Amino acid sequence: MPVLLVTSDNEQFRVEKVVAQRSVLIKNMLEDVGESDQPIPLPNVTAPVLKKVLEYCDHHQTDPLPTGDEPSADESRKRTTDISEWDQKFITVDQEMLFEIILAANYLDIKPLLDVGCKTVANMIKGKSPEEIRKLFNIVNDFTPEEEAQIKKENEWAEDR
Amino acid sequence: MHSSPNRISKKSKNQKATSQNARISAQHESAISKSSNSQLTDAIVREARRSVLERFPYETLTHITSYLQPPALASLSAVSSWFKEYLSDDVVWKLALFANILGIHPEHQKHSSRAFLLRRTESTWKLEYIVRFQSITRWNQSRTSFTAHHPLRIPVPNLHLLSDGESLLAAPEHFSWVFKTVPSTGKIYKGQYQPTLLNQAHPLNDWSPPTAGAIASENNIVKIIWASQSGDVMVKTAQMHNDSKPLRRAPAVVSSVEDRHTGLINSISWATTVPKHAKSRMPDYFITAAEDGRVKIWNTSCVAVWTSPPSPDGKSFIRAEFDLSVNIAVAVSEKGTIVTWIHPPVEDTLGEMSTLIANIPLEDSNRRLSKSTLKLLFDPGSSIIVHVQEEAHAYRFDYNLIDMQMECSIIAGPLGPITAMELSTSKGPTNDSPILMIGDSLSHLSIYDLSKGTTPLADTPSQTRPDEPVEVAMQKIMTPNFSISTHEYGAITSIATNGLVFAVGNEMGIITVWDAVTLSSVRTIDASSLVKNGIGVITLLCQKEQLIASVGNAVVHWRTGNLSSRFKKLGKGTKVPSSRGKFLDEYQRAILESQAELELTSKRVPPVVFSEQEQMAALRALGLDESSAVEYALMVSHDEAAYQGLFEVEDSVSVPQSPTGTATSINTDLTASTTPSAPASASTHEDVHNMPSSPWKSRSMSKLSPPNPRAIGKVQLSPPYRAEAMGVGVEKRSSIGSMKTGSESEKEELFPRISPPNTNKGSHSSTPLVSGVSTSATNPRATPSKGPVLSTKWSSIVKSSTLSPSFSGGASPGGKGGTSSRSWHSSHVSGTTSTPIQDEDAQLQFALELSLAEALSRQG
Repeated sequence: MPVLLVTSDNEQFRVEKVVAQRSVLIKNMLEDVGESDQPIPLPNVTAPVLKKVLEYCDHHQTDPLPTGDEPSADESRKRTTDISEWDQKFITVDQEMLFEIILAANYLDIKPLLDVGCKTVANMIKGKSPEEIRKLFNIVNDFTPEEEAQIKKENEWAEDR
Repeated sequence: MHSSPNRISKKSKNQKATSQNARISAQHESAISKSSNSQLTDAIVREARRSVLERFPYETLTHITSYLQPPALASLSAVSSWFKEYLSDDVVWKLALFANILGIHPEHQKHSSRAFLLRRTESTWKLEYIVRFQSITRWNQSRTSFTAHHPLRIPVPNLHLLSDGESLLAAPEHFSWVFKTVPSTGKIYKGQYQPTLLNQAHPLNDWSPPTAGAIASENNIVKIIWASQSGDVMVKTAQMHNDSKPLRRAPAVVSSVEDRHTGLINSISWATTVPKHAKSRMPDYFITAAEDGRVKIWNTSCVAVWTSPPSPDGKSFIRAEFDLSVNIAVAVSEKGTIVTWIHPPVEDTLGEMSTLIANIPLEDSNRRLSKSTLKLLFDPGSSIIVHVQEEAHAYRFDYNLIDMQMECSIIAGPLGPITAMELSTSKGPTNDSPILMIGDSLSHLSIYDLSKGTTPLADTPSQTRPDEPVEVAMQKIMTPNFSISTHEYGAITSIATNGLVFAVGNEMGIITVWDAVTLSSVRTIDASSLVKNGIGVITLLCQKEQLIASVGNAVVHWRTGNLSSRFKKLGKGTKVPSSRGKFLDEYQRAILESQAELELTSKRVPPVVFSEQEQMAALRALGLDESSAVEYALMVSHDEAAYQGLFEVEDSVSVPQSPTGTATSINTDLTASTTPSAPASASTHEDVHNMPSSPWKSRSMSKLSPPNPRAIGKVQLSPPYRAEAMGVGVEKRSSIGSMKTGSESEKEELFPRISPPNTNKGSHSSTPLVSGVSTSATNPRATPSKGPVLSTKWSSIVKSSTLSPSFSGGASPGGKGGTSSRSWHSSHVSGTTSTPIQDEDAQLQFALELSLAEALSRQG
């Protein structure tokens, strides 16, 4: 049975229940409401973002839902670095979209998507100098030269790696 | 201002999407208020300009930063004042540490089964994360190699590192002598401490050898305690300055006749204190267990401050431990009775002493234990861990101070028989639970959280004996929290930990180092070449970033070093070093580069040895011995040479100078002369000595040559020490040497490898030569028709030459290069009569040349 989702900009999306249920928020809503064809309003998500998110949910609709179980040491370490190929392609979007996807994943409670998004941002930061990070994320350097020298001194250890 | 991230962090993370918006605005307000407090329009403009990163809600940002390691977090904190403030919150670092080290998901999980492995060493999570990350990286990536020295020609299992972190006191099993050495340089000070009183030149009969000993130190003061065969104890106090040698005239005190044991003392050990309670590293008391069935606690003036009642089973005590901070003494008798004295009247006489007695459930109740078969670990917090050699299980005895009972539980060990145990108690600022580590004969290591309760074991009848004073019910079992396989094989013989990593030594002389929390392997130190008489790693010390191990008769030292990327960074020009600094910097880079090269080459060399052995095996399979193989090779190559036309010299000689050829030979030279660890396994193979591969041979010979009796007290370096500073000389020399070999071989086109007298004087040689000969010996392309005719001629040469004992040395010029080649020449002269000597000589060289080239091209 399809589910009707309504975005903040009043666009309607008709999706399969199994796809929509990747979102824990929607899943809980459906459970609370029961069988009903009432449209589900998603006031925090815009149409372009929801389209993208649903693309993700559609591709991952058969994945096992994440459980609270603790993963083994290997898994967790792997998790901190790896993003699957499909996900990597999926998440290759401009910064604004990435930001919106992460916020939507957080709001809709889609943990794997949130992980992918956060990892992607983390990977953008990794291995970069402060200046490179500023450039990439368009951040203004508001330190005085003295402050900057001080911070550089404090972070000297990071050079030694 | 400073409080803004903190304020946000205090909000519960459980408040999910509903409160998200409120939080965002709170965060934004704080960020905005920083720059301009009043103008809202200005704030809106700024808001629009703010970076994506800064607009994330707090919990999403922590999620992102949880995937980052300390260097990236440091970079981020230097981006802007907003991030600096964000990262001044310790919670951010804590979450990142948990995610990266414990594998706790930044948002979902709150617990990790590995949490108990995390021993905190620093006061803040930020420092903790940085220190761990750097330390593990250094353990993992340092390119330093280990040094080894031999304080004695017998194993020295007793090691005590002085507080300067450099000097080591080492003593053999029986503690007759205590030597001072510096393991990082291999310096062994002359003189030693012995159980002698002032003015005594040698120990008296009762004291040679002593039955036990122990060392304690604080700053420059060293105290050594000995136990005599007649039941006396002695304390020697020595002033130890950085560069002083052990003095015989150090003041010593011996116990009085009234105080002494009436039997041989089985064990002597210093009282322990929980580090945070300790006033100093120097204990005030020590405890002895003796054959007279009593335990005594002594002060450092050798006065017995407390004597135990006789042992309950009437047998002698074999081990005793005493912890001053909880004021509990523990002793084990040779029948396996464990006696625990709670509050013996040592310092305060206020509390009344109580005694708890339990029995180790031995499989054979008639068995007598000895101090060598019993392993006892005393965790002053609550328990005693015992294991008796050959028994299937270790046992844990928990003493309960409230209802005065001992509770015994089985410790389910790793797969094989237990061979090593170690207890890691809290050393940091927090009260971490003690960790027990047990190693078995199959290289498995099991790790236990001692604070975790034991699980009841169903259907186990309580193994109590009627004569037991206190009944010990055996119904609980403790299972390992983690088990890892540390090596393919070999019994684990010692375990040590510094909180950040733990090191495991095995009987094969291999030391593996593991991240204490993630349990990933960070390093392997192969000291298998030092294993003597089947004695591998006996003792391990792991302190800060150095590892000291007693392996065979040697003491091995390894320390982490600087990492290379630092210099790469400097090279990029982030910092302009002064001219002198730059010079040094260049030097250091050169060292690191050559070390990297060495490490690479050392990895590549073992296959050469292996292929050699393979070839030898192939030869044996063919029923050929070495000399006939050489003969055959010469024959075949002569054949080929004849076929190609004898004097196409340019063509044939160019072959050995092919890149692979020179590279291999240089590699061999380098490794043979400087890399200590690479061929470590080579000398253990008997075959090596039979093979004319001189780099290996000369090395192993030098190692096997009987040590000079006078060498005690002198520096013995084997393998050669290679510190950062000294490394310059060593590396430079070796690389120059090998370069020279290459260039000279180019000059002497006809005799690139074989003519030893003026090229490789006494040190360098090429292994591939020999392997090349043996390879072509098995070459099926030999033309048998010409064979017999030639073989008679050539065999006469070769046979006569093999008669001279140094032929193998001559073929691959070793230390005796000059003489052996001379003998080769003379034998050659005697062996040939038909052709002019010059021609014959050239032909032979040429033939060897060819076979070598062939072999090299195959290896390439």
